[in-house]
Amino acid sequence: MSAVAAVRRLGAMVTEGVWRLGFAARFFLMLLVYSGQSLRRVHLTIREIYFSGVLSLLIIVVSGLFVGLVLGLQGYETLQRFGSGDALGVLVALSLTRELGPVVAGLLFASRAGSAVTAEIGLMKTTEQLKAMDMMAVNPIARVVAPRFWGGVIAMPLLASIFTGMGILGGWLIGVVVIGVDSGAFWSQMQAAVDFRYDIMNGVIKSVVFGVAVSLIAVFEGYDCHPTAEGISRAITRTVVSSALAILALDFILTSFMFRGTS
Amino acid sequence: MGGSGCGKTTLLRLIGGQLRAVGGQVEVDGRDLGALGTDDLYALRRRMGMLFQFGALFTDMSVFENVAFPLREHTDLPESMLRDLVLMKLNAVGLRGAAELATSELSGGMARRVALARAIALDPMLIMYDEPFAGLDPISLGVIGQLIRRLNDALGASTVMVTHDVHESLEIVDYVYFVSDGKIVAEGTPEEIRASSDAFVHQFINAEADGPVPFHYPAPAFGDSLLTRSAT
Repeated sequence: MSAVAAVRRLGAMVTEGVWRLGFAARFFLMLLVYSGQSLRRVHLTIREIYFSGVLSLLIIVVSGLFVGLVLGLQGYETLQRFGSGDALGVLVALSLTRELGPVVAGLLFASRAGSAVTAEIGLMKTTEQLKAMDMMAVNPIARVVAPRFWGGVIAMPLLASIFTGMGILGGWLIGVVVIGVDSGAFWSQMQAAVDFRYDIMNGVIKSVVFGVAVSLIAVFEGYDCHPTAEGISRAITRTVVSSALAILALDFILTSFMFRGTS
Repeated sequence: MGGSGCGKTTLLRLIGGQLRAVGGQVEVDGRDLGALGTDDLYALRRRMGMLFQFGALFTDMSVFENVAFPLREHTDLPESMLRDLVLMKLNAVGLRGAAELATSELSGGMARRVALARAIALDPMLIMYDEPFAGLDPISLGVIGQLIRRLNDALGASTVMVTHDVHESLEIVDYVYFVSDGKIVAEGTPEEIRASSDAFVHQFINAEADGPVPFHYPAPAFGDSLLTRSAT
C-alpha cells in the first residue's frame, strides 16, 4: 500500500512539475508578446531599473569590495609561493570578469531584487490588484510583469560590472596599498592579460543570461504564487533557491562553451 | 443575494469575463463573452467598472493616482483635464481632500470609496460591486449604500451588486435575485421580497439558523464526534 502511495506521490509530483514547466513556458511567451507594449512606455522600465538596480547598489558595492579584498589576500598568498606575486592583478581581474563578478552578483541580485519582485507581484495578486487591473482592461503582464522583467535584465549586467570593478579595487587595495605589490606591474599585467572580447564580453553575456533567468523566475513565482501569506513566503523561497541553482548550472554550461580548452 | 459560497462572486466574474462559462452563454450589451477574443473583451471592459470586496487599490500609488489610473491607461487627456476629472470623481465619493494620501493611510470605508471613484472613472455603462458593505461600520455602510444608488442614477448606468447584506441592499436596489447552490431560488422587487413567504427568503431576511440553507457544514452527529479522535 505504501509503495502504491509513493508511486502515486511521485506521479503527482512529475505531473505537477510538467504542468508548471508548461505554464512557465507559456508565461514567458506571453511576456515576450506583451513586452513591446511595455517597452514603448520606457518610464515603467526605468522605474524598475531603479528598484532592482539602484536599490541593490549598496550590497553589490560592499560585497564586491570584500570579495576583491579576500581574493587579493588569498591570490597573493598562493602566487608568491611560485614567485609570481606581480601577477596578482591578472588573477583578480580574470577571476572577477569571467566568474565571480557575474555569478556572485547574480546570487546577490536574486536575494535582494528577485525576492522583492516576487513578493511585490505576489502581494498584488493576493490583494486582487492584478485582477482589478485586468478588469480595467489593462493587461497585468504588460503593465506589471514585463517592466519588472526587463528592469531586472538591464540592471543585472550593470550590477555585475560594478561588482567586478569594486572587486578589482579591493584587490588593488590589498595587493598594492597594503602588501606592496608594484602598482605598475599590477595594472600593466592586468591590461595585457585581459582580453575585451574573450574575457569581458563573455562575462557580460553571462550576466545577461543570469539576469534573464533570475528575472523570469522572480516574476513567474510572484505571478503563480498561491494568494495567501504562506503562498507568498514559499514563492520567495522558491525564487531564491531556483535562481541560485539556475545561475550555478547556467554558469557551468556557459563556461564549458566559452572557455573550452583554453585554461 | 445569497449565503457565502453560493456562487455570487463567480457570477460577477462570469459577467466581467474573468471566468469563461463552461456551459451556456454570458451576454453583456448583446455580446457573447465566450466568443470574444482578448482585444474585444478588453474593449468591452473599458465600459465596465468593478468594485472589489476589499477595494484592490494599487498600494504603490496615491489616492489621486489610483483614480487617475484608468484615465491614464485608456485616454490621452491633457494633465489639467485629467486632474479635474479625478477631483470630480473623488468629490463624488467625498474624498477630494484625501487625493494626496497614500492608500495605507485610508480606513476600510475610505478605501472602498476611493475604489468606487476609480470604478466610475471612465463613466461605465455597467458597474459591478462585490460585497460593497462587507466589514463596514454603520455610518460608512449607509453612506456607501446611498452613494451607489446616486452614482447609478447620475451615470445612467446598470448596476449589479453582489451582497449578503439584506437590509441595506433592499433600501437601494430595484430588483433582487436570491442565489443558492448556483441557482436562482427567488426574485422580485424589494417590496415583493419583504412580503415573500418563500422559506429561503424568510430565512435569509430574518437571519434564522433553521431553514433550507443549513448553518452547519455537513458533519457526523456531534455526540459521535466528541467520542472519537478525529477532527469532525
